Amino acid sequence: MRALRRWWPLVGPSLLVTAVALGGQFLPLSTQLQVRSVLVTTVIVVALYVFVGNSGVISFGQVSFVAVGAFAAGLAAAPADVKPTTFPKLIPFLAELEIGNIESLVLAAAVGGLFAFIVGIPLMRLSGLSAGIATFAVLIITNNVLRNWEAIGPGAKTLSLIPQTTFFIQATTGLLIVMAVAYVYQTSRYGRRLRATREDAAAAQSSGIDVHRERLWAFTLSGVLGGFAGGLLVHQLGSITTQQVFLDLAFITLAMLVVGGIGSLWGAVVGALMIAGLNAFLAEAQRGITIGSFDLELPGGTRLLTLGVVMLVVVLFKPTGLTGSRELTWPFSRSRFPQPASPSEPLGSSPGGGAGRSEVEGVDPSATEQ
Amino acid sequence: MSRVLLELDHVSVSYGSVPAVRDLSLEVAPGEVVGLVGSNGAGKSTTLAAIMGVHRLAAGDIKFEGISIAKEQPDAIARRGVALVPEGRHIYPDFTVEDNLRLGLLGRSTREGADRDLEWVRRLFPAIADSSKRMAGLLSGGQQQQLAIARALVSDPRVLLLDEPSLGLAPSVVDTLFDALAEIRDKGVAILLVEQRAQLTVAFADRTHVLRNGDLVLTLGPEDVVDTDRMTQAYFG
Amino acid sequence: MSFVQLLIDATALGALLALVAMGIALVFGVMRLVNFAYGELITVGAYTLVLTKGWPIVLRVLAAFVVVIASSLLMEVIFRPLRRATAATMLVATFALSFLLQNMFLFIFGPQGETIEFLAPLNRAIEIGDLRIRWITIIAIALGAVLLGFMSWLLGKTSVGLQMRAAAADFTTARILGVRAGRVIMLAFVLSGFLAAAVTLVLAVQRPLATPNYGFVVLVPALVGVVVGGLGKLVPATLGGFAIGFATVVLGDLLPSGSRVFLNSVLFAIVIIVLLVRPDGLFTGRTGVAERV
Repeated sequence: MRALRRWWPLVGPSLLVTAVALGGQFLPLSTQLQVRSVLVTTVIVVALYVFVGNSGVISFGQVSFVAVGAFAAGLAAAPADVKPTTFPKLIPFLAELEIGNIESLVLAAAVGGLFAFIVGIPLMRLSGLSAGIATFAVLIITNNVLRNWEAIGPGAKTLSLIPQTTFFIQATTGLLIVMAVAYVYQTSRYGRRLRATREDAAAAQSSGIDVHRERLWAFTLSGVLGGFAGGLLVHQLGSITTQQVFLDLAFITLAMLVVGGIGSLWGAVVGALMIAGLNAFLAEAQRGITIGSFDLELPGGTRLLTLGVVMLVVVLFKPTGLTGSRELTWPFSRSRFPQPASPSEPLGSSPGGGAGRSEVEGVDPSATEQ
Repeated sequence: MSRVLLELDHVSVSYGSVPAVRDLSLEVAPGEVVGLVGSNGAGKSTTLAAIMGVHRLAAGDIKFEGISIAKEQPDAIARRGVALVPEGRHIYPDFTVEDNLRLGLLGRSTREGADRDLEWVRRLFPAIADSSKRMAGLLSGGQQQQLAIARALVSDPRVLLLDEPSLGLAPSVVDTLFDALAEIRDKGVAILLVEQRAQLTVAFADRTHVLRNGDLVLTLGPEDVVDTDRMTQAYFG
Repeated sequence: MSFVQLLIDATALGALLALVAMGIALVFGVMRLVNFAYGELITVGAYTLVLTKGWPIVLRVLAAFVVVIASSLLMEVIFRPLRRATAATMLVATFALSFLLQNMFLFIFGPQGETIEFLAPLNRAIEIGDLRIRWITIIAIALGAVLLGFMSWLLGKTSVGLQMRAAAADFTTARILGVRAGRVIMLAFVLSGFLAAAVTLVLAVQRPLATPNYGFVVLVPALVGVVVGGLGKLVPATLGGFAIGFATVVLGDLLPSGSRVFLNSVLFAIVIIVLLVRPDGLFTGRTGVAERV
C-alpha cells in the first residue's frame, strides 16, 4: 500500500491511460484509429516533457527527434524490394535493409537519442529564448535535410508501405513504458538535480550541480523517447511525409504540455489526452457523428479553430496548466497533505515568492504589474 | 490639508508567505526628515517600495495628504508628489545625464516651474550640470547618486524617499551628499531616509525609527546621538 | 547576377525584415513578450487589401493601416493577462494566438490563396546599364530607410520615445519616475502595428497571393534575426533583422545551384553558431546586459 502510494504519480496516470485505451476498444472502428493516434501523440508529449518539464528550458526541437526516429524506423522497415524503385537515390545500405517491428522501434529510439546527444552538447549551454530559438533552428535544419537529401530521407515524397504494427497493444504498452521511464528519471538523482536548476540555474550551478551535463542527460533521454515515439507513429500511420513531423506537430505538442501543466508528468498526460482527444472528437464531428439522437456535423476547419481557442484560453487564464503543474496526489489518505510546493511549482515562478529573500532591496520588477 | 503629509497605518507587506514588514505605523509631516534604520533584511527598502506602490500591502493603509494611495500605481503616486530614489540608484547608464534628468520631469503634476527646478538641481549638483551630454554610466558612484537624487527632485516632490543614498560612497562624498540633503530639506521637501549609517541618520533626522525583522522597535531623536546604549540598539536593530 | 544587383536585392529584403524585427523588438522591450502572432498582423493587412479590391489606392492603404493597427491593439488587450507570466507561458500563448489566427484565415478564406492585386506595375524593372531593378525594390529600400529614420527620431528625440526606451531598459524604475505603463505598452503596439502595415504594403506588391501563413513566413526569419542581433535592445534587434534578410539573398546566390535547397539549413546553422558564440546577440556590444529569462 505504501509502495502504491509512493508510485501513485505514475500509477494513477497509467491507470487513466489504460482506461482510455481499453475504453477505445468498445468504440466503432474509425474511432479506434483516433484513440490510437491520441495514445501515440501522448507518447510524444511525455517525451517532450522529460526535457522541457524537468529543465524549464523551452524547446521546439524535440519533434526533430520524433522525425528522425520516424524516418529511421520507416525507411528501415519498409519492404526492400520496392525501396530502390521508389527512392532511387537512397544509399544502398538503407535500400537493402528490411528489419522487423521491434528492431525498428529500437533503431528509432537509438537514432533519436544519438541525434539529441550530438545536438545537445553545444545547445545545452543556452538558456531562455536563445535556447528556444536554437532548438527551433534544429527543427528547421532537420526538416530541410530530410526533405532534400534523398540519400537518407524520403525527399518530398510520401514514405509508404511501412508495416502497420502500432495497434492497441503496441500503442498502450509503448506509452506506459515511456511514462515509466519519465517518472523513474524525474525521481532519480539526475532528475532531481535537473529540477533544482529550473528555478535558479545560477544558484544550482554554484551549489555544485553541472547544469550543462544534467540538461544534456535529459535532452538525450528525451531524444531516445522522442525517436521511439516517432517509430510508434510511423508504424501507426503506415505512411508519412516530412511535413507531418514539423512545425505544426512541434507547436501542438508543446501547447498540449503547457495546457496540461508543463512541470509534471500528470500535466503532460492530461494535456495530451485532453487536447488530442478533443482533436480526435472534432475530426470525427467534422465528418458527422451521432450522439444519442443528436446528429452533429461541424463544418471543415472547426477542429483547428476550436483547438486554437481552447489552448489560448487555458494559457492566458490558467498559466500553470490544468493540473497546476502538480503531480497526481494519492486520493485516499485521511490527512491529505498538499504536495510540497517547491519541486512542483511552475517554471520560474515569480521571484517575489522566493522564500530565502526576507527583503528584496530596491525594486522588484516582477511585482510591479497589476 | 492635513497636518501629516505621509501616513503609514499598520502596514504589512509579505513576499509569498514570508512577512517583510509587520504592522508598521509612522508619519512624516511636511518639511520633516524621518530616518529609518535597521540591519539588512529589516524591511526598510520594502517599506519604501510599498509607499511607492511597487509592492502591494498585505494589510494596513498608506495615506498621502490624507488620501489613500495603497491601491494606486507607481506612476500615479509619483505624480501626487512622492519620489523614490531606489537603492542602487537605478539610473539609466546607457542614457545621457540629460535624458535621465528629463525622465524625472515625468513625475511632475504640471510643467510649470520645471525650468526653475532644473536650474536648482544643477546648482545643487554642479558636477551633473557639467556632464549633461555624457552617458550616465560613465559618472562616478557619487555623481550617479547625485543624478538619481536630482532626477527625483525635478519631479517637484513633496516627499522624497531615499534608499541608502550613502551606500558604497567614500566618507567625504557622503558629507557632500548630506549637505545637499540639508538644502533639500530647507526647501521644504520632506525626506524619508533609509540608511545603514545610523549615527549620521539619527543626527540628521527629526526622528529616526529602528526596524528589526519587519517590526518597529525603537524611535530616536537627534539628542540620542550621544546616548551610547540607544545608539547601540540602533546599530544592531 | 552582378555583384551590385545582388547587393541591392539583399538590401531590399534586409530593409523589409529590419522593419519586422523592429516591430517585434518594440513590443518585447516594454513587455518582455516575443510575439509569434506578429506575422498575423501582416496577414491581416494582406487580407484587408484583398477585401478592398477595387477601392481607390489611397483608401486601401488607409484601410490597411487602420485595420492592422486596430488588430495590434486588440492583441495588446488579449495579452494583458500575460504581463506577469513566465517566458514559457508567454511564448506558448503568442504561438497559440498565431495558430488560432492562421486557422481562422484558413476557415474564412480557404487554403488556395486570394490575389491581392495591389500596385502590380511596381514590379516592373528599370534598367541602368546591366542592372535591372524593380521599382518595388527601390521603394522597399527607401521606405525602410525613411521608417527607420522616423523611428530613431521618435525614440531618440521625443518625450514618448524617451519613455519607451526607459520602460524597455528598466520597467520598474520607469514607472516610479511617472511613466504610464499601460500607455507606453499601448504605444508600443500601435507603433509595431504601424510597421506591420508598412511591411504589408511592400510585400503585397512583391508577393501578390494572400495565404493563411502569409505573414508567418516573414515572421520566422525576422524573429531569428531579432534573437541573433540581440533581443533586449532595439537597434541590435533591427540590425539582426537586416542581417538575416541580407544573408538570405547573398547565401542564396553564393550556394551552388544544386545545394540551394539547403539554404535554410545553412542559414539556421549560422543562427545556432551565433547564439553559441554570442548568446546576448551579435550587435549588442560589450555592455550587453544578460537576458533575464
